Order: sequence, then structure tokens, then C-alpha cells
Amino acid sequence: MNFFRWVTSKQLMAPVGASPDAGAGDQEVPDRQLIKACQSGDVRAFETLVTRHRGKVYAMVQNMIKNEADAWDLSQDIFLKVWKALPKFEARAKFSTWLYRITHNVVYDWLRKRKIDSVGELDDGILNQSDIAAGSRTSPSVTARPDQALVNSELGERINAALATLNAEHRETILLREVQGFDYKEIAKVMDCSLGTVMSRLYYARKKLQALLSDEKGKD
Amino acid sequence: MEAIGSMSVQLIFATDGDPEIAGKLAKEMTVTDLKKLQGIKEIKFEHYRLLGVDKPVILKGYESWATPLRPSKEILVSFQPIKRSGDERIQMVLEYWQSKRKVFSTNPELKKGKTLYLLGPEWRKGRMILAVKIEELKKL
Amino acid sequence: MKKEKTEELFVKWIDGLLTPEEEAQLAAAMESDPGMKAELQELKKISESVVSEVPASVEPPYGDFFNSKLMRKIDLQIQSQRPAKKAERWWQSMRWAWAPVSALALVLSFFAGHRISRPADPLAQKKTFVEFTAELPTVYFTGEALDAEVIADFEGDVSAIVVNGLSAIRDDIDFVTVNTSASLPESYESSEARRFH
Repeated sequence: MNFFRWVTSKQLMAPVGASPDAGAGDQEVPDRQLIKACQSGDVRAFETLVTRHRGKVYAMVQNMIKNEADAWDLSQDIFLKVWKALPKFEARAKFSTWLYRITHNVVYDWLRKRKIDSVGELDDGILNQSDIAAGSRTSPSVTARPDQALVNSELGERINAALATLNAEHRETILLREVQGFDYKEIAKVMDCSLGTVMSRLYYARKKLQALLSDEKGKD
Repeated sequence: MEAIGSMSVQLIFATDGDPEIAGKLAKEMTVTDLKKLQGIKEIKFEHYRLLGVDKPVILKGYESWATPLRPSKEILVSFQPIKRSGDERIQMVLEYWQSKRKVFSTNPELKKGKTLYLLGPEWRKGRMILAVKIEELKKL
Repeated sequence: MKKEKTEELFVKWIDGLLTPEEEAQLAAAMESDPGMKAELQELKKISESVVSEVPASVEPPYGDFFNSKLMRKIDLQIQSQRPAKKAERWWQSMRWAWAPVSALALVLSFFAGHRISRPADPLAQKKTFVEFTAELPTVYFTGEALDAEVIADFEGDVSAIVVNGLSAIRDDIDFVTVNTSASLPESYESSEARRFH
């Protein structure tokens, strides 16, 4: 027995991966302006913001949790939270720092639920090998993309494997600094910790990576 | 290449008129299949005939194709798994191709053993129906 | 020098952010520890490898429906915050299998209280009807404007998608003899090769 029907709206197909709002024109409108429009209820402006930032959010989440299916869902959750919280966003704050703060909270909630790592402890946790899905170090699609070529390298694989052995705080600190290019203050804001803690985590995370990667070299 | 399951894609001709118009190769449907089809108001017809079926393997991360009217490629279905939800469910992108053109695509979540019907174009005073079912799905 | 200070200097050296005073401090520390410079250089190399090997941005698969699914959730969120009158109009825009309004109310209350969850999903939560409809598939069309209806069954699974307005298949096509092999995507040929060669 059928209970209900949903009439979907007519849509013209866009090429996979493309969005009508992506492209050079999109870059002309700064985040600040888009956010202002969003705060007035402009959902199209929000979609432009999503298209602009979804790659970075997805990469960060995937690098943190090493699970492509959940990374997709968590990225959705993050942007939904962004939408809900936008009315409270202050124009003088930096959007990317705020966005990553939300990303941090969502990821850590997920990690807590999965009990992979104890938040706040420094002992290194290891993601279960089963959690590191076969395709998680690359994009799930077989069709190669330019960014995928980098990750597919042998060194890339070793680095990703080494990153996966760090605890969540160390891994996140490294990703925010090395990959996303955040400065120490921004990292402290995202992770809600002191500057000193950021420096300490960076130091130990880099030392740990050095030990792991040197170990691997020795085995070759 | 990791096979994570298999699916069946049937092409069914549905009509309120004379089912013999579908041609000699069209077969009668099973009673079970008939009951399922007639249980959905929107695709309820007087008669149904099975025109063809394909049972491809589902490969993780790959786009694969079903050719239900093999050797004819008039109607094709491409599918690519996107994500799993537990042992029994998988979300896929399905594309319906007709006369070598992509006509529409959709991204349903499919449950193992449950058929999704896609009511398609008209043909010989009837309608084409694609029946997509996940036959097997590897446990997570 | 305090341990914390050394750690900070190391980190800043790798990142090229030492002040002149800090450079002098580190230089002094290196004089008393010859292996320090080599260690720092190795750490810097690893840091550079992370930068070059781990992508900062990875497009989520199927970016177009990542957006459409998200925007659909936002749409529902906006709808759910609207006053009751407007929400009623939204319900009315859906064509129900059961016409009577009382039956509709029954169904709504059924879903509101009914646990719609994926049995195998450890994170399954009670879902309201509004959340459930956010998971229905989207249908994309390439050509002329068409419309589609998604029909779900009692358990909330999609059972049919009705697409209206598709071009009819020519009556004179005999599927046995038609054999169009040109102009199909490469992925079709690859798929066939995997199966039959």
C-alpha cells in the first residue's frame, strides 16, 4: 500500500560535480557579502557558499575520520548547522575559522559516539583498520581527479596511514596547520584551546610522524 | 575491483490493451511480480509482459551498466553505488538511457530484496516499466 | 631553556616564523646539540610532504546532489519553522493516496510516533515525518522539462518513481534487431568488457 507521493520539482541536469553557482563569477562575491545575504534568508547565496567551501570541509572530515560514507553525511550535517547558526555569526569574525569550529564539533561528536578516541587524552589512538575504507584515502569514485593524483602517491599513502595513527587532537592540529594553512591563533580558536597547547600538539604530532615515517623508511 | 552485490534490472511492458502487441519474445510475469506491480496504483495496468532482464554485479566505486534488452541497447540503465546504510541498504545513482541518450537520473536508496519501479516512456499503446532490485548485498 | 620553549622554537622554525630573538635562541641551543639541526631539517621535510601530499580540498562525490540534498533539508527546516497555516498548505501540496483529511491526520500522527530507522544502523534515531521526507531521491532531467513523482510504501521505502513527459519509443522498434553500438559512453564499453571478456 502506498502512503504518500512526493512531487519532485523539474530540474535540468547539471554535469556531475558541477553546480550552477560554481565558476569564476562565484569568486567575485566575497564570503562576507554572501553571509549577509544568507542572514536575510537568501538560500541561493547559501548554496554558493556551500559550493565554495564544501571541498575543504569534506577533505577535513575525511582526513579526520577516514570513512568516506560518513564523511559525506557529516559534511551535510556541518552545513546544516552552519545554516542554523548563521544568524549568530558576527561579520567581524573570520568565516573559515567559524566554519572549521563547527566542523571540529561535528567531527568530535562523531568520534565520541564511535568511541574511537577519548577526547582530551594524549595517548595515541588508532583508527580501526576496518574504519579506513579501501577508498577512503582517495575519493570514492574511480574516475581520477587532479587532487586524487596526489593522494594516490606512495608517499601520500604512507603519510595518510601515519596521520591515522595520531590521536584526534594531534591529527587535527597537523591538518589545520599543514593542510589548511591556519595560523596558531586560528587553530586555537577552532580547537578551543590555548596557544601553548597548539604549539605542544604540533611539536608532538610532527615528532610522531617523523618517527613513523623514518621507521617505514628503515623497513624498505 | 570489489564486488559488493548484485542486482536485477527488468524491462516490463505494461498495457491496458492487448499484451501480445509486445511481440513473441515477451514473457508472462510471475504471480509474485504481478502482485507487486498491481499493488502500486500509479503503475497498475491490466497486463504486463517481461521484455528482458539483466543481472549485473555491483562494483564498489565503479559505474556499471545493465542492458535489459540485450543485444539491443535501446534502453540502458547505468548505476553507481554511492554509500551504504547498514547491511541491507545502498544508495545508488541510476541513469536511464534511451536511444543512446541519458534521459534522467535519480539517487534512490535501495533495500535488498525490494523492487523499485521506474515508470518510463510509452510504447505500442502501453508503458515501459523498469524494475530495479538489489538481489545480493555484501555485509558490512 | 624550558622544554616548552624549545618545542615552540622548533615548531616556529619549521613554519618559518621565528623572530630574530628566537632565531638567536635556537642558534645557541643548536651549538650545544649538533644533532638538532639535522632533526629539525627532517621534521621540516615531513611537514612539507604533508603539505604536498594531503589535499586541502576534495569535492564530495556527486557534488550536485550533495547540494540539492542539503538544500532540501534546509527547505524542510524553513518549512518546519513557519506558522501552522503555511505548513498546512505545504502538506496539501502533496497528493495523498487517502483523500479524507482525517485519514491524513491519522497518517501524520502515525509517522510522528513511528520509529523509522535502519535496523542495522547503530546511530539510528527516531525520525519525524519531516526528516524522513528529506531522504527521498531527487530526479534530474537532461532534456525538456519533465516531472517526476516519487511514491513511497508503508515502510517508508521508495517503491516507484513515475516520470511523465518522456518521449515515446517508436512503435516500429523491434528490440531484437536494433543494435546501436556507436556513441555510448566509454564506461558502458568498460562495463561490458568486465562482464564478458
